[in-house]
Amino acid sequence: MGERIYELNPQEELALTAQAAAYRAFAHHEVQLFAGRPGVEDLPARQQVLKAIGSLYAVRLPDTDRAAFIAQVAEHLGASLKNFFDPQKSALNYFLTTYKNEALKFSSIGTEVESWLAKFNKVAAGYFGPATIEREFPKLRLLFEIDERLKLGVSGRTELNTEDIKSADRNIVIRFNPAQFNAESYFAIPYVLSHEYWCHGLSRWRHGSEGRMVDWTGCSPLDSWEEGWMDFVQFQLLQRVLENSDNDAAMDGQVFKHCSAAAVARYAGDEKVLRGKGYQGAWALLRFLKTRVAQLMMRLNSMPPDELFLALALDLNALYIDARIKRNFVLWIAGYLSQAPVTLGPPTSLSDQDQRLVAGRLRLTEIFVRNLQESAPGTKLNVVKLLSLCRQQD
Amino acid sequence: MNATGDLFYESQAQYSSQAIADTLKDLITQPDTRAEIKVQVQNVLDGQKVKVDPEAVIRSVSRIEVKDQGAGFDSESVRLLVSLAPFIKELVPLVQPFCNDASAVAKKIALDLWEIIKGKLSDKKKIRLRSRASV
Repeated sequence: MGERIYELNPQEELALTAQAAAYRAFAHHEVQLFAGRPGVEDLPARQQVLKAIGSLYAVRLPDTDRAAFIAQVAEHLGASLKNFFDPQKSALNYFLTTYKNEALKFSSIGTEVESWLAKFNKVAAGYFGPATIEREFPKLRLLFEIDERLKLGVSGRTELNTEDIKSADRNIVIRFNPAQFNAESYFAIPYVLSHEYWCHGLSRWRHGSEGRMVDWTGCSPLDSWEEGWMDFVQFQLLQRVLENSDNDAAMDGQVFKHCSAAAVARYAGDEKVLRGKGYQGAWALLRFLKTRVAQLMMRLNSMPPDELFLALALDLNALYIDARIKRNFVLWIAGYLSQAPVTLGPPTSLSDQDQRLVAGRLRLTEIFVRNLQESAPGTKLNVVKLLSLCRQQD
Repeated sequence: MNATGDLFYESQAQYSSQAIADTLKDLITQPDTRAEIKVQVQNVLDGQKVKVDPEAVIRSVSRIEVKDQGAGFDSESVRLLVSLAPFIKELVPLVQPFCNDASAVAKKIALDLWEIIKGKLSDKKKIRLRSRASV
């Protein structure tokens, strides 16, 4: 019913860019704006500020020149909010000044998303160094579109670059529904991009005879590996990006808060479906490694558990093998390790289902090792380390 | 449908492409559904004036591929790719003796049959595929 999907046009880009700047300014001044007022969370003025920013998309400002547009938005926000703030106090003016400064930081919302992509590329380069993966890195292109059917204000998709059928480069499409583009959506953009980048952009590499990557079609939204396990991994990596970010604390605080909320929302009531199992499995493995860190460090000789977990997960994600093998692996980890004891020794009580999963483990190990023959030495090393750890559970 | 015989859809979030592909194969093995499909296939073949055993055509239905076209943050963002190309390829030699342009006729039959199968997925298995154009 009038809902459309299309590429972002300049007017929409300007509006989303202005909203983004206003949300960042709001993050800076949230405390200051409402200082001395009771019940900050449900204060009408607070709601009014967010409503004013959220509705910027619907305000059709005449000028499409960027500088003029920024000024017009400031005027519009000032006019919409003046009745909610004491004119004798300058909190609203500070907020509007910060908005103008923030609006100059990025030429567009696309540029801002690209700045996150650059941060992820930097982290990825650290993990996928020549010593670990001796193959070409997938080329990822960033695109934007409007989808008026989205329930959330922002979402993402990763696909093959269909414009060039000879290329197997992947497109990450960041998708907006302007009608739903609220503060929660804006600050969750890094989570969405991080999900697309790590879970799908860098999964299942395979090179054809000409050296370019081939034959990637994606995965099911229910997939336990890319949608579950790797989603857990990407959030660990995103937190590292935030820890080392050059953003200000107010921005990173909001990003962390809303990305955490996005992760919780994604798995709410999702424990029984496969992707929920994948997420649970990754968490179980990380907990397993962390709780036995002293013993493991002695056996592994050097690699800290978090590093081992992330390196292993990224290597497995990159591995071009049948998706079912990864899915079974995730199920096994979730069923087996979530009940594993903290100290060395046999597992306590395994359900029948878990026992069946464990019984299939040796077969799984064989398949993994066989498939690893074509992989880079680093990949094989990390997987073998994990398998040797698991054997010590017997 | 594009030049390579691909159709794009979206489905309910709980059905993966693998589940849909498996259900599609199940449909043509269930005796009652197969009998219904056979009648409809015969009608399609009669309409194209090709005297081919409908059982041979139904067997080729299993060649239809269902894949995920990309991956995404939520199920609304992922498209299903239904590829009729392998199905059409099997139909071409079957219809060849009865027409001049076998590939065009095979394509027409494949599309008609796909609509029948899609209807059965909806009626019998409650899997509803909605067309989803590329941006």
